[in-house]
Amino acid sequence: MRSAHAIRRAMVAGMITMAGSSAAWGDEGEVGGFFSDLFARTTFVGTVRSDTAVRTTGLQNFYDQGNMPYQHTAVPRQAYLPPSLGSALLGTQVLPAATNWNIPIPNIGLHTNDTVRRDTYIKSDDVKVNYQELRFSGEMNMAFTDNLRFNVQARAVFDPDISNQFDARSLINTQGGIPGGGADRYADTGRPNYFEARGRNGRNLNPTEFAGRKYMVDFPTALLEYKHDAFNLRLGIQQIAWGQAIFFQTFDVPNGLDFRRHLVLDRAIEEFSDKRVPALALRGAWQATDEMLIDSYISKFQPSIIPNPNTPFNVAPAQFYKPLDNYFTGGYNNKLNFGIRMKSDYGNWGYSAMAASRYNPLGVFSWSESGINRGLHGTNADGSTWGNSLGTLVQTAYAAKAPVGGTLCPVYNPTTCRMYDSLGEALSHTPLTIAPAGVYSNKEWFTSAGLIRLDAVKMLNTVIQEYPALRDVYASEVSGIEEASNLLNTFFAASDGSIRGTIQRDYYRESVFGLGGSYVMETEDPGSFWNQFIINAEAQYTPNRRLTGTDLGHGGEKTNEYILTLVGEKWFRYTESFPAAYLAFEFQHRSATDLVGLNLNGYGGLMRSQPVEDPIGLQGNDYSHLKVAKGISSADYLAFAGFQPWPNRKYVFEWAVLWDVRGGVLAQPLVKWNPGHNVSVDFFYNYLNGHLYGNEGNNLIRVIDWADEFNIRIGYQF
Amino acid sequence: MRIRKYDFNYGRRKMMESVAYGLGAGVLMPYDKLLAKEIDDIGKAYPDELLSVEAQSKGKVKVGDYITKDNVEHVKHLLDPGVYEQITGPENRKIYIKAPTTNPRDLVSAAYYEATVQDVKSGHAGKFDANGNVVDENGKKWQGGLPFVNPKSGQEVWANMCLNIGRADNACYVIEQKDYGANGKQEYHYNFQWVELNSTARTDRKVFKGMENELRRQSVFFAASPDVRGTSFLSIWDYDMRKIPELYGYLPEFRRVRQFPSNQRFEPLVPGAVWFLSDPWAAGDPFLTWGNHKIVERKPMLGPWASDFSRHDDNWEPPRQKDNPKFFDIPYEMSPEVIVTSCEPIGYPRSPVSKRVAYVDARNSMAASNIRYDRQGKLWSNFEMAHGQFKGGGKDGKRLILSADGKNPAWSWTYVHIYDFQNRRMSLCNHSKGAAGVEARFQADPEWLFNTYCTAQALQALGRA
Repeated sequence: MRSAHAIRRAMVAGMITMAGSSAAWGDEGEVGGFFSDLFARTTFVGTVRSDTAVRTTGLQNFYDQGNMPYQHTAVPRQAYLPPSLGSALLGTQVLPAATNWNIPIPNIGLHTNDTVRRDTYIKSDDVKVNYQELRFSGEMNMAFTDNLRFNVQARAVFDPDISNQFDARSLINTQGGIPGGGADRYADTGRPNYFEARGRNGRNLNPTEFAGRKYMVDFPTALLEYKHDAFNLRLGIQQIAWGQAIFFQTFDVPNGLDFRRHLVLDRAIEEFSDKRVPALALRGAWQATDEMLIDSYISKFQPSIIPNPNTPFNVAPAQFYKPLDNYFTGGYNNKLNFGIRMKSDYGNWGYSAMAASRYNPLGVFSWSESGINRGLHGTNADGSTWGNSLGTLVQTAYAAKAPVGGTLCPVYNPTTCRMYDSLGEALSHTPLTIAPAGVYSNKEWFTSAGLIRLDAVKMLNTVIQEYPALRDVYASEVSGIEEASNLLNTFFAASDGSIRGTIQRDYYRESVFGLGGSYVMETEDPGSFWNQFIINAEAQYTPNRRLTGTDLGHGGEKTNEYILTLVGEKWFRYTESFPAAYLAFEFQHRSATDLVGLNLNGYGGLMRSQPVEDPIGLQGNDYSHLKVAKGISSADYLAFAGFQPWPNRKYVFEWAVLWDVRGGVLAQPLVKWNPGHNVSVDFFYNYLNGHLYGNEGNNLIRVIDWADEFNIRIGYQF
Repeated sequence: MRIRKYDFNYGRRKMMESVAYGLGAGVLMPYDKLLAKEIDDIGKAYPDELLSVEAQSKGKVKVGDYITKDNVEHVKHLLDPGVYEQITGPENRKIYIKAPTTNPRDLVSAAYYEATVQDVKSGHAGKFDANGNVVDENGKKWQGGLPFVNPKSGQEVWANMCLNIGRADNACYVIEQKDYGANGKQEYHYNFQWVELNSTARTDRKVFKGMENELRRQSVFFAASPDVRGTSFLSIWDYDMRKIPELYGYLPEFRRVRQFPSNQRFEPLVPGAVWFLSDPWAAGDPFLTWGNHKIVERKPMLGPWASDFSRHDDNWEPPRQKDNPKFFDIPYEMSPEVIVTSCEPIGYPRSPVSKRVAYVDARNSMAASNIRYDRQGKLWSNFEMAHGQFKGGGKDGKRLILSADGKNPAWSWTYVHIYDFQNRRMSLCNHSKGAAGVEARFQADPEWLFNTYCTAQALQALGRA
């Protein structure tokens, strides 16, 4: 910890030096000698930039509070008798199994049914500006000799918070407010936290990053580089990119990705240059022969970073707490990644091979104990009380049970025994927390599960299986959508509002292997479209890759995954009046995960609010339209990207189209204007459509297709 | 002045005959004979009037004068159409006239001169094989100086320009480029390192690292402006001039070296640039990817055949024309024999260029002017460049930059004007001592250059980390 602070202090000092050294050293340059020579061989580069994205449709991020599924829909909730209190008493099935979670509790003197609308509790958002960030980036390159240099890049980003979204503190008098506890809940209990990324224990995932709610400063690069003959060594914080394919990561496995700062919706041609998570690494490259390059690295494992809840490009339902990251508590911060790649070019042919042992940076998400002790009723900050009669009854019933292990309860059964002193304590040993801005209804549960590629029923059964305290509070495994709905709505109704979930992230080592080849086509006719068409093929095979299970079970799912990517590239001149256009065609086939690494078995779930078709007000839950993920066998993507410069290249028209063959498209037309004087301006539009055809739950784009937006980026370099 | 043995038009008539009968350079004697005898006076090969601007302008312009729109008509026949347009048009260009360079040693690098002289003496000469590539008299890949000392055909001229474009086996330049708009205001400013490393066609006659199937590796590394900093490209030229070079690039956005298609040669590499990859040294492309090479005429001309380094500043930048910063204030001089030669981009369908005309000094086969014409046959751009020895000037007037041998003055290109006649834009480049962390290195070790600039690993290391 102390060393991390020391590193940070050193980095800050370095950055201050970068900002001010130009003038300070300039005077010394007249003195002569080592320092003046060094100054002469030192360069400074700076950029200031503003990025703005304005939404152009009525859609907003449906993972954030205020725009979630069923935000404006009244959904009926009916409580059912838990089997442990009815059909399966004392741990024994006494009534037919079909009666489990199928006996409604009449609303006689008890709050056992109601209708709920999220917007009763959570005000709706109307964010016009999806994204506004100001950034400074600077680079200093100090060449001590021809063979030794120090290169440091710093990046400072500020979000002025003009989107002014959800503030957790606004619910302080609802259901007792959103509680912290159990771990560092830095991203859940206040206003949106745009930048911080912390582990469960509160430490920064990236030890050389300084971040607050609205700013971050980090060092994409800080390395010493030594060159000798055909060898090159780089030691320090760095990013490593491998492979010929752009955006379709096949060989590009050394670094995780940072999905803060506009997710993957920036200028497409920049690929992941602003997204790779820098890591402390030693990289060695050796030009073994004129044709063959061997490149290897060993690096400290740094995980991918996902956006925080309620930030504009959050991709995890904010009904859940920010996943608790076990990076430190699991000891993953001491783990190393390493890999080696060979690339050879022989005229028109090229070959490459790669092997890496790494911790998958996306990690595996699973249910996690919340550690938050809260029961079914209580007192708000303003002195008012919350909780309803059903909740009070349940809590009383729980308290009336006998402690397990005592004389009244020598052998545990969920009907008469309890494992904890209170229901609140029992819940603290589960992932579920009674709190506002969580999930309010069965329909919301199914939809949110679908949106993050989970099986809504399996994840319910798994949490019950993995956390016995849930049986202690009358939960039991369910069979099918209706039983799941009945259980969920029973709990939601008893909560007098909603229930929040806690999940965690762990990491697993995997061995990744890759083979690739390239060929430059040449034709007799130089005018042929295929002349100088470059074909690249890259394949990745990863045995025993761990994916997040569709049930959110601990340890995830193991699978052998293969990924095949084909790339075709071409300069093509349509007309004499304009320079040639650069065209790139890509195809990727993935057997187990989607483009961002999510489990394909979780595809096919419910993806949006559906009408409530059963009459509201009668006893019963609405099961219409509910479905669970069926999974898809593979994912296939096509991309077409390129750019067309104007004469003199003052303007460049760029485009990128990503087509998920199962019915989604992302298209980004862009005009880059280089007016000179070190100014550049980009105008681009992100068009996303996740329901072109087919089951919208089966394509990648649907999960972000709210983000149609016009973007403008203005930069000045100096 | 020597007494004239020949009438005023003798030289011109002789050169017309040379074109008609396919004869080589030299009027009074073949130029290769002059080299063979190591005569340090070009006057032995050319009559005085071909070296005299005064004679050629019938006394209207003399050494020491500036050519302006007021007197340009007297020397119009000595200028290429591009510079004539620059002088008479809205740019109002002015060009100082200096005395002609008469020592052949001053017209090329020392190593290249020595290699050429040795070739002439030993009978080592170039010829074309069945595929049109240059080989020596034994059919081996060319090594030495100029393969065709007395070029007699268009192909020979273009081959001379192409094989060792900078007349240096290993070259490491810093290019300072400033791009101007039509209004005369500077819009863009770049610094980049340009490296050329010949594997064959070397003056030391050794195949570099055994890469006999390659002609050269050529790389460019952008050090500034900030938006392109860290971008680098490596072009690997096959010895077979029918093949388009392989192109590898490191783009900071991609953070890795990737292979790129390379068949498009008519695109500006960076915003604002007027020049294309195809332009430099009139030999940016392998010469057999162009066709219909012709010698149009041979004649005496004014041009920047040998630059005056003494007026360049401490960072080697030439002075500017005072009333138009788009142009360097550099001198022209007479060359007694310039080969006007053209070719067409037959290997590049939909090329925006219809033909290229180069104005090549017959004494060293270097082009000082390379004019592109668009598809309508209109003047499009002029790649005007000068070469010369890097001596003179500095604080004491005795500045001397040494060449790779550590003894002789460095000799290289000094400036380039790339002017677009259709929109009056200019890319103004000069051979710079250093900028933005890169420096000119005449004495760079070729192994170091190779490992630092000319491999995939090198591009990776050069690239923005």
